[in-house]
Amino acid sequence: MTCREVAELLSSYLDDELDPEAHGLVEAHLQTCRHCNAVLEELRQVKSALQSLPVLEPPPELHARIMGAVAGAQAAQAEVEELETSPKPGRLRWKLPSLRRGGFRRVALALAACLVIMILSSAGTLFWARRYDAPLTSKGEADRSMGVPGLEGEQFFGMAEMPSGVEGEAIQRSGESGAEWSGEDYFTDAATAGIERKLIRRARLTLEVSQGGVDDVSRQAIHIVRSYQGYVESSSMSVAEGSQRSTAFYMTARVPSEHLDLAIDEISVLGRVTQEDIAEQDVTEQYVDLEARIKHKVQQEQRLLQIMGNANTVGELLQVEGELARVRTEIETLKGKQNVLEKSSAMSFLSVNIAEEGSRRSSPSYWGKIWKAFVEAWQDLAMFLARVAPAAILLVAGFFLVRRVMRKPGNG
Amino acid sequence: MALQNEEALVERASRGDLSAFEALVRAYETKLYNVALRMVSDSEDAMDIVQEVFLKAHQALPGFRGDSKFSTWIYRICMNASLDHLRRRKKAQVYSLDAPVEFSDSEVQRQVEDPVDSTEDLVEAKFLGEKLFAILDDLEPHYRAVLILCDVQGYSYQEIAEILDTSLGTVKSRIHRARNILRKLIAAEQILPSYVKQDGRRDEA
Ligand SMILES: [Zn+2]
Repeated sequence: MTCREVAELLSSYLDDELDPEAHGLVEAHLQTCRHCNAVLEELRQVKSALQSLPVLEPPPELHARIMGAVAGAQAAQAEVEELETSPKPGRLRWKLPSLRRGGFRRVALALAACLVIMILSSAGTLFWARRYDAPLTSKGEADRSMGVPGLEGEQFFGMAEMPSGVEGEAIQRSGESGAEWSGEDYFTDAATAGIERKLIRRARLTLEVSQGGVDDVSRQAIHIVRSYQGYVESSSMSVAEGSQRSTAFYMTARVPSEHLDLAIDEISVLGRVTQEDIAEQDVTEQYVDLEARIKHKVQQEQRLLQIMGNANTVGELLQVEGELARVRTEIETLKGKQNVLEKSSAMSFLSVNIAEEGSRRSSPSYWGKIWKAFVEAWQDLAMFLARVAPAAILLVAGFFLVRRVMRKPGNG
Repeated sequence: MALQNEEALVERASRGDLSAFEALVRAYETKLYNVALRMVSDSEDAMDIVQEVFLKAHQALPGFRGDSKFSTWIYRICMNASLDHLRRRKKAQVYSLDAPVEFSDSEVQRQVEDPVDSTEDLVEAKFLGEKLFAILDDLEPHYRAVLILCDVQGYSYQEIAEILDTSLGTVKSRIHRARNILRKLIAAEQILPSYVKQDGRRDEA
């Protein structure tokens, strides 16, 4: 193998992606060629430099943003699907074949009557179900929740989006303590004494408002958030036009932590509160720990700068420079983490879900489920018959025609 | 996350179970954020991309057949979104390093000629992490994509081919070329100490 050929394969060799034969050939060449060894070494440095790039923690609001957008989309989608699967009676038109043969006509009429009854009754049950039960969703999707109300409580409040190193030792307070904490009460920990507590709070509020009130109430909620110097991170409004127009609103917002309780109180009176959670996480220890590590690293940096000033050779200089780069990168990373904590504790997370009364999908009772299954089976049967009807009609017609022709050969 | 667990989550999520979907979001948001961030070099843009990726995934999940792994599938959505983003941004963007270093394999211009100058350069040079990032940023997006997947995320060539929806041969040659570009750029920028002693031997024979 020539050096040029080997050069083409070195990267794959480094990644261990060559077939055994090629691998062996490259290996043999490397035994004897200094040049290719040097290139391989350089490639290896590129690879390991890239491998050493740190995994960065996303900003903590990312998770809420994603879930807000997804929940909004799901709510809107559920509405659309419900509309699409509603039968549209006006569009079903049946044309009876204009054959005049008595026997066939009776069969066809019976079939048609049967179909009409099926369809009318299924429309009837549907109407009945709509009025007296939870609205029907499309088949097989009865348990699809509408937006956030279906979210499982704890999950949304999971702390996994916290910066790394936080989740492990995090002291998580139970939801009820979400009320107030008075500063002094917590100043018992020796390591963190004299430091302002860093708490990350997440609140979730679900409101029901009267029909048609979502638009207005959501405006007011946004206004309240802003009046406390908070801001809306994402919001979505889903409107479904149909037999009954229903609107849902979802937003994730950040509110200065000292105003969170007030903001919640104000928003709560805009409608009927069906759910209110506040979760709290104490990250003071992590914060203090980060601060100490930053301080230590900055001292290290100063020392390195001194040494650098006294360096005599390029080699020395490079060594110090490399070390300095490493220390500075670490400082940046630590400061980044500290900023994240700082921001997260200064601005609480607040998510608000506003739905119209009655549009929230309650889970049906036992009899409700049976009724629903009955209705769905009935609709399936009607749908099946409607689908096979044309073929059945043709078959029956064909059968009678053939029989007629066979019986009266002379007649044609 | 155990594979089976993930399959079950995907199955539940595709039937509209939002809490299962949230578990998937939790499992992948950091990875995808890092991929997007390395691709577009902007935290805000990366967040937009990841949000868009999960929205698309949520929408497309009912049609997800499981012929490929979920991770491959969602990485592919993420890569496509990132490449799209770069394509849209490219019009407004000026491609440059601070010095005219050509990307073609044979055209690395800057060499270490004057030890005094290079020493000053070094003292003023940005630091390794930033530099790598900056260099990565200046690579052609497809080269960047393969290096991020191979070296930063640790995927095999076969998996990369699936994620980028291309052939194994293309992946192989892109990685080869991308690494050689980086190798030479890094040498030219002199940010890895081992390059200082190089003696003009840098060109391939
Ligand atoms: Zn060789």
